[in-house]
Formats: sequence, structure tokens, C-alpha cells
Amino acid sequence: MYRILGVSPYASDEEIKRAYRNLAKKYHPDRYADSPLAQEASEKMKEINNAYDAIMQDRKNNANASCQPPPYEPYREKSTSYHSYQKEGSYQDPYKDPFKDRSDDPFFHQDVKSEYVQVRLLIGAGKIKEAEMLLNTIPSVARDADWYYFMGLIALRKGRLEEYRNYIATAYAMNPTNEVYKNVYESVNHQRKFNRVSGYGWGGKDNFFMDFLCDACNICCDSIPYDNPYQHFDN
Amino acid sequence: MMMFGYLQPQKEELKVKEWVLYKSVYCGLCQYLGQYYGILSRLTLSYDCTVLAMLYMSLHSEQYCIKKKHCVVNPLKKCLFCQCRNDSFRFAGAVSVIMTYYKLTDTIEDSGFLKKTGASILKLLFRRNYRKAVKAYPEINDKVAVMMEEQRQAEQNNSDIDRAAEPTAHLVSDLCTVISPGDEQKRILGVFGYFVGRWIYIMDAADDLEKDMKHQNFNPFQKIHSGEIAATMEYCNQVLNMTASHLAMAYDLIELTEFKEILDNIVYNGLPCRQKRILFDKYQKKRKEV
Repeated sequence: MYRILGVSPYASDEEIKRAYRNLAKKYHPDRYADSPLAQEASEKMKEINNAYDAIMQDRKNNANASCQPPPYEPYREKSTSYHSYQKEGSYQDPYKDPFKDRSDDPFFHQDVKSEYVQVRLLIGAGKIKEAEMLLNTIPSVARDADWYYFMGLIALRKGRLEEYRNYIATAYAMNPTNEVYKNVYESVNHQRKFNRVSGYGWGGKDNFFMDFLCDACNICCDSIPYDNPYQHFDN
Repeated sequence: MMMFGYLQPQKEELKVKEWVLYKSVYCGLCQYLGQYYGILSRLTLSYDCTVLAMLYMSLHSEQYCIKKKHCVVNPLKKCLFCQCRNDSFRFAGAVSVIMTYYKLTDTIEDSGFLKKTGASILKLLFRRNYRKAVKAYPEINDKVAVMMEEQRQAEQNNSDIDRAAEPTAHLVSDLCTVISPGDEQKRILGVFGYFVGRWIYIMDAADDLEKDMKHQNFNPFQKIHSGEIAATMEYCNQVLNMTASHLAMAYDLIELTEFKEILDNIVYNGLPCRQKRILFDKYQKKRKEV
């Protein structure tokens, strides 16, 4: 358990919390949103959540035995939001039943064409070629923002990042009101901007992570239970 | 072509012990090449293959030992040499030798007379080493041959950046998949390798941009911003940043044991550091000289 969080068994609760937060940020589902490795990341996240729960439960029991007030209580309450990913099942298998599992996804509130649902399932199952073939059957007059978005996802699966960016930009330009496109577009732009000034004398790993992660936290701020996402860099 | 030494740690951010360990792997690979392939093959030594050897050892949590001996290149100096009983150096050495051989072939094809002659002689001297490496790892040779062919086609078709980078990306992806310790990690390593290869290719293309423009060689960045250097470099940096961020996503999922700190440093500090140095510092220096 302690090894998963990368802390010593003698670490203080504060240290464990910090380690957990850092790891949770690192493997946060938002970071891996459309990535081909989303599945692996969500498994890792589950492992970390379980380890953290187990450690905290363990310490709670010990603390109660010696009649000490459990010092971590406030954070436990706050941290439920991480666990919601797991318990509501929204990130366990996002491709299984898109209407049910991703009901929070604004994309599925529109009336989507049946082809696109099919494409999403195919991409989720790793059948990139089939998905691409299906998309190409749609005549060019009928190609809307969704079409470009899914073409973008396919390009990303292939690792063609420039193509991905162009498709996403087109999708966003065609339909700027769609939250999904907006977030993805902003996240791509953030990824491109991050380390202009990095190098000697500029911060360390943590700073770098901050930039790498979570798309300037415009998505995460709603979901991460931090009061201030930068707070642990102050010390 | 790949293997140019773009994958390096940022020395300033390493601990002294990590730096010593890193150097010992570098020297260890050099020593291995010398012992197994002969003195000439020491010339093929590169930082990228050092990283490959480290990744191999890290994935398989290999036991290694470090010995102090005289350096071959500078006999007055004593160096630490990392030695490992398993295949990590064997693999990295074979990759190094095969890649260099193909690079020489490439140089012979598209260089001037003087360079051509030099490369031909080297290639001839090198042939024995190359055969030995192919015998040890025939599949690497096949993959590199495929990659060279694809690269030629991509250049002929005047491909965009994504497609031009793909041959190298696929090759590194395959190399990383081969050294995977189990099926679980295979997919992650494949994705990781893809982006590493892509990053290396783009870095090299950006590095060679001016040279290629002068000699009218193929370069995927030539068309963009109609060859205006500063704007193109800015664009390259964006492409590289995005690649690096996907690379790091895959990297974070790999289970590593030994050398983790060094590999972390390479991914999080080394890559951006190199980007800065090659894309911006180099041109700034040139501008000052003018």
C-alpha cells in the first residue's frame, strides 16, 4: 500500500495526503481524457485510491484504539470527489454505454447521429480502421463538427498530433458552443505552450508537472477538491 | 534517421550519484561495444542508446555492478563502468551498430564526393560489426530496413510532419515493445516509444532546417511559415511540446525500478532543456555573431 503511494510507512498523514494528491493529479482521468491509454490510467487511479483508502482506514482504526482524534477527517470528506470517478462508474469504462455512463458529457445531450455512437464504440474498442472507414462513408456535405471531432480522435490514436489538432480546431470553429470541443481545444493549446522558459534555474519537477497537467485546471477546478490548486507549491 | 543524442538528462537537476550512475552506463555501453564488436564500434556510441540500455535494465529490474577501470579513449583517466549480465547492453549495442550502418548508407546516398568517400570507407570497415549485430538481433535489422524504406517514400511524397515522423516513431515504438517485460506494459511502451520517436524526428528536422533549406533537401517544416526561421522554430516548439506531453503521459504509466530518477529527469527536464537549447539558444547565438 505504502509503496503504491511512494511513501514510507512512518510518513505523517500530511505527507501521505500530499503524495496522494500528487499522484491523483498525475493520473487524473481528465489528463488522459482522449488518450489511447485512458484505460490504463484509470486502473492506476483505482489502485491509488484503494491504497489511500486502505492506509487511511488502517490509521483511523489505530487512532481510535488509542483514543486519538483522527486528524485527517476534513480531507476525507473533501476527497470524495476523486472517488466519485470510481463509484459512479463514469470513468471505469466510458465506452461501454455512452448514454448512460457519460451522461455528464455534454456531447451526448445533443441528438447525435447513430453513426457517431457506433464510431465512439469502435474507437473505444481499439478498432481504429473500422471507425475511420465508417466516418469516411459520411458524405462531405454532411460532415459537421462531430465528424471532425471523431476524425481528431482517430488521428490521436494513430499518434498524429498535428492532424488531431487541426480536426479539433475545425470542430471547435464549427461549433464554438460545445463544451467538449472547447475543453479539448484549450487543452491542446495548453499542451503546446507549456515549457517555453524551462531549463536551468527554472523550477523543478513540480513546476513542470503543473504545466503538463490538467489543461490549466480549467476542467479540474470543478472536480478536484482543492481549495486552491496551487496550494501545495507554496511550502 | 534517428539516434542523434537528443535524449539527455539535464545535468543540473541530477544528484551527483545519479550523474555518476548515468555516466557509468554510458561508459559501460562503450566498453561493451569495444569488447564485443571491436574498437571501431565505439564510435557508434550515443546518448540515445544509453537511454535504451537504462530503460531495458529498469524494466527488467536487472542486477548490475559498477567497476573502476581505465578509460580507453583517455588512458590517464579512470572511469566507472556499469556492467550487466543480461541482454540490456547487448540489445542497445546491436541497435547502435545497426543504426549507424544504415546512417552511413544514407550518407553515401545523399552527400557530396568527399563525405561519400569517407562514409564508404567507414561502411566497409564496419561491415563485420554490422553482420555480427544482425546475427544477434535479426528483427532489429528488418525493422530498421523497413523504416528506411518508409522514410524514403515519405520524403518523396513530400509528407506533412505527422507522416514524415511516422517511420521513426514506429521504429522506436517497436524497439520499446521488444524490450517489454510483459504483455501488460507492451501497449504502454508502444505508445511511449511512438512519441519518443516522433519527438526525436521532429527535433532533428528542426535542427537541420537551415542546412536543408540551403541544400534544398526535404524537411517537413520547410513549407510552414515559408522558411522564416524564428516563426518556424516557435511552431516546432509547439509541436514538440505537445509530443512531449503525450510522451510523459505514457511514461507515467510505465513501471520502472532502477534508474527511475535519471529517466524521470530525461523525460521531464532533459527534453524541454534540449528543445530550448536547439530551437532558441542556437539561433540566438548565431544572431549575436552576425
